Amino acid sequence: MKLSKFILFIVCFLSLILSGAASQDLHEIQSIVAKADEMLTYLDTDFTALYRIETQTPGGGISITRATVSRRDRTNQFLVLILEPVSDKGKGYLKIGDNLWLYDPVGKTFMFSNATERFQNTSIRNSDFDRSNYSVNYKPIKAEKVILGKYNCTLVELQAIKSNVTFPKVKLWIDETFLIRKVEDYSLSGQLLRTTAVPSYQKIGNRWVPASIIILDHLKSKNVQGKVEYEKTTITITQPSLEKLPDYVYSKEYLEKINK
Amino acid sequence: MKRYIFLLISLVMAIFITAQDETLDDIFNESSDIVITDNQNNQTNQNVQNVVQRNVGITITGSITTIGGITAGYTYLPWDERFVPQLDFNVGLTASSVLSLEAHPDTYFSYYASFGAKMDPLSSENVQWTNFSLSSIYCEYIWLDSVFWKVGKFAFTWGQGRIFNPGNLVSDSSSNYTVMASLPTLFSGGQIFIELSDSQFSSPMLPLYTTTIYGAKFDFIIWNTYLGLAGRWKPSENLQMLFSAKRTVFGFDIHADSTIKLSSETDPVITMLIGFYKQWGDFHVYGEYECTDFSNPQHDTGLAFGYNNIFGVPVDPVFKWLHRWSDGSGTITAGIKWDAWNHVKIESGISLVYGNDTSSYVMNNSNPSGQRLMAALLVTLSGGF
Repeated sequence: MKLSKFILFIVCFLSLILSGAASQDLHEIQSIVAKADEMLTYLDTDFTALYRIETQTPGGGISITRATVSRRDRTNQFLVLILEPVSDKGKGYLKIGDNLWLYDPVGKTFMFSNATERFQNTSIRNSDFDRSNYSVNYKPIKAEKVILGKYNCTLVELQAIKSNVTFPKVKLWIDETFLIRKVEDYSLSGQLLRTTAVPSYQKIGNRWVPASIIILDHLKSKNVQGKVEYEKTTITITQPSLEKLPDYVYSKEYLEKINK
Repeated sequence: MKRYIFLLISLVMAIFITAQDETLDDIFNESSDIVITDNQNNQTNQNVQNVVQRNVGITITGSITTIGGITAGYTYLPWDERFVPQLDFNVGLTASSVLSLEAHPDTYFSYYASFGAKMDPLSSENVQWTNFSLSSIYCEYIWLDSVFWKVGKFAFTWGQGRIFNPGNLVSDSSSNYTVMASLPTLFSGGQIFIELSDSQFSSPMLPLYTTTIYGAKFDFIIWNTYLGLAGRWKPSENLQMLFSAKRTVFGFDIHADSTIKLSSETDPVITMLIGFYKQWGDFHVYGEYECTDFSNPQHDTGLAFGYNNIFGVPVDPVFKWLHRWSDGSGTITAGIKWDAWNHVKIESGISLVYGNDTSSYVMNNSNPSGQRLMAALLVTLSGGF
């Protein structure tokens, strides 16, 4: 009897130590994710850049969209203005808080949209224009050290703790400078939905901004000559600016004003 | 045995296919980051701010559109006893042109003017263009980064309806002279305006302030629901108010507008509009229900859907059904729009107008010769600079 109590005590003790260690690990992982968010968040200013979005359908054609993107992280606002193609010129996406407005310059109408919907029917979700907020919307499950090309990365598996996120599970590859190099988005059942790679960043002062992003949409695939091809979206971000913009830029009135 | 061989082959194929999946990992072997210098950064800041804030100097744009078409149809529907099985043909040709000037001397001030001219040889019996007339002219001034002043002749709309829009209480704005102050950062946006019209100067018996239109509109977002409150008041007439709401429910954009027209002589006239909009990729659908005047109600519904670039080609099929439940009349229109070549669009469709002779949609039938069953083919040539 005494022996069994002793064994039980040992088991409980070890469990406590192990769970403590695990929770400490999770705290460390959480801080890595928070640091990665911080690297791509600009709370003291606005972020503006020109986006060139090239979408290549599997075994098919290429479409190109050009847009300006302005983002104000401290108030959770962004404005996306379509410059090309000509048929969509003047369309605008305005996010204020949790509300996303779509502006149609032809009908001069605004439409409420769910932020999880696709941007211009590409692999980009409207929520991708938001600030990086993995440390708030997700909790870490586990992490491991991996090598991604020439980068030593921490691969972190995250699970959503908020219901309004676009993907319930994600994997992040965070390099040694805390830049997110690769993201895999999963469904609740664990199906891989999308892979995003950020092969190149650009440094402005002491801030980092993605220079190019490549997205493979695993929901849009085709078997081409024995090889599975996915819809591939390449985003090239040029002329990044971290200058402040006036408050009125993030308003419906401004969208109407610039679409005469 | 055959089953096992089949399973084995399937497994091997699955492994082979998986092994051939496209991945992105290879790009990280060669990738590198970029450092932007201060000089590049300064230049970039100016460039991108110019794009976002449209500091583009002076821009002159123009466009011309020519539409030619042919219709064939019947005045009465085949099940009408007056139906004559003989096609009635009509042809049409119109052309229009717009020239516009836009100037942004700086971030805070802008000027815009547009002029339009038309030609309609088949109805006016000559091929002369009308003179260019002023369509809109106004200037805008951003005051203290808080108020957008807009002064001049320009059109603006209220209401959320795509098919019916009883909420547009400012439908006469395009012909009036307006002074408007927009407040983009107040609540979720607001505007205050006064409008002057030609008619108030032609009847000087009434004091000017009684024939001027005063209006205001404010937007709010509460619990992820858009709410709008607007009012238009002309002292010599009455007060009209608009209440709007919009929310996304299960991915559907749901909107509602209600208007009230107050009068000292009659009961208030109330209208109600409820509608939805949803887009799945290239397919989009919207529908609306309108009830005009609660004391003598007319019930109208509309349903429309379309598909962009069906089968991956630049052809858009569309369908629209409008129906007035009060008198049983309506229209059904189905067609396709084909962006055939650069600058050339071809549209083809059929239109059916039903109801008795005195019903709303039959009385307001705008088809050539009042045809109730009609097929049309339109070719549009347009270009701009």
